[in-house]
Amino acid sequence: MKKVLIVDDSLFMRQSIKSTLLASGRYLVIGEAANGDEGIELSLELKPDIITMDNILPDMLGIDIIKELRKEEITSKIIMVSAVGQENVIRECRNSGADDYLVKPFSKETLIERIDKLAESLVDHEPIAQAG
Amino acid sequence: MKNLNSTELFAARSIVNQGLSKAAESLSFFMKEKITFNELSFSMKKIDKDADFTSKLGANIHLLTTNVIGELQGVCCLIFSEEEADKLRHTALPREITDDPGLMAEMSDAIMLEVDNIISASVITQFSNLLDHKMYGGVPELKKLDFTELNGYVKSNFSNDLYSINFKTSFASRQVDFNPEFIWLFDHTFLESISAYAVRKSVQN
Repeated sequence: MKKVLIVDDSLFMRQSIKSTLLASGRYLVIGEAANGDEGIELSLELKPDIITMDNILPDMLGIDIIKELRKEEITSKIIMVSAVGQENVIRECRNSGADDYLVKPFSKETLIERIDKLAESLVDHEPIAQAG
Repeated sequence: MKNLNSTELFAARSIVNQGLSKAAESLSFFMKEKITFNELSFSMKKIDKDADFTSKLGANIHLLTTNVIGELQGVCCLIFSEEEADKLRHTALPREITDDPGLMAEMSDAIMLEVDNIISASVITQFSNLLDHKMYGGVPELKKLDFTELNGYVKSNFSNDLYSINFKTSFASRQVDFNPEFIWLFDHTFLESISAYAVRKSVQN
């Protein structure tokens, strides 16, 4: 099971991502953070395989968290999950170390598909067993 | 403050309409049906002291506000009646939440804030891409008010010299009585950006 950390200030979004990942049977949500400080702290402490990261948090921007994590040599795969859909922002996030960028709103199927792709790209990955 | 000429006004309406179309698409996602928006009112003046921001008379209001941050300054207000907010919650949230009073209480405001976050970002994304500005929406806030308090609240919080342009629409559903109101207030740089956009478009054409 791949370990996932969710960083999002929206309780609804954290709950929604968590329940989608758990229902797939392929992911374990090992932490949730509602702000940037907490997100950095948990990323360093838990070293998740995958991080889902909102871009607008009450205390900082997701892109700045990514820069910080990459500086700390955190190699977790990071997918930005944000309502911010500007082309220049997406490009900037990708250039700063985000592995993928998912614009809200999205379906559960899309979320799982994109997370599965990231899981497959983990260096020492085990093949993803399809649930069901 | 400059006034827009007819070409610029056309460009402004076009940009705003594109933004609102995206917002209606996002709202459709949550409502699980096609949501459209009604006629747009566009005003290039400060908020009038007699302005009315809602037609939801007699209702308890859910007012969601998001500040626009970056190269354009503004704020948007999304206004639901209590009944509309309930419809949205019951349609957007899964059964395991709506059937559990504890979870429902926990998620009731959270879903409204997330819907506002996504809808306002849909518009901001369009404006940012079209006007070529770096801008984004801040963290949304939810305030519950009696309808008699809404006008006073909006005017006292947003009716200052900063906001000199405003536009307003409401969403519409064919199937249910669901007409949230959507108001945007921007500073004068919005007009300058529209002018620059109109010039770019005329050169391209």
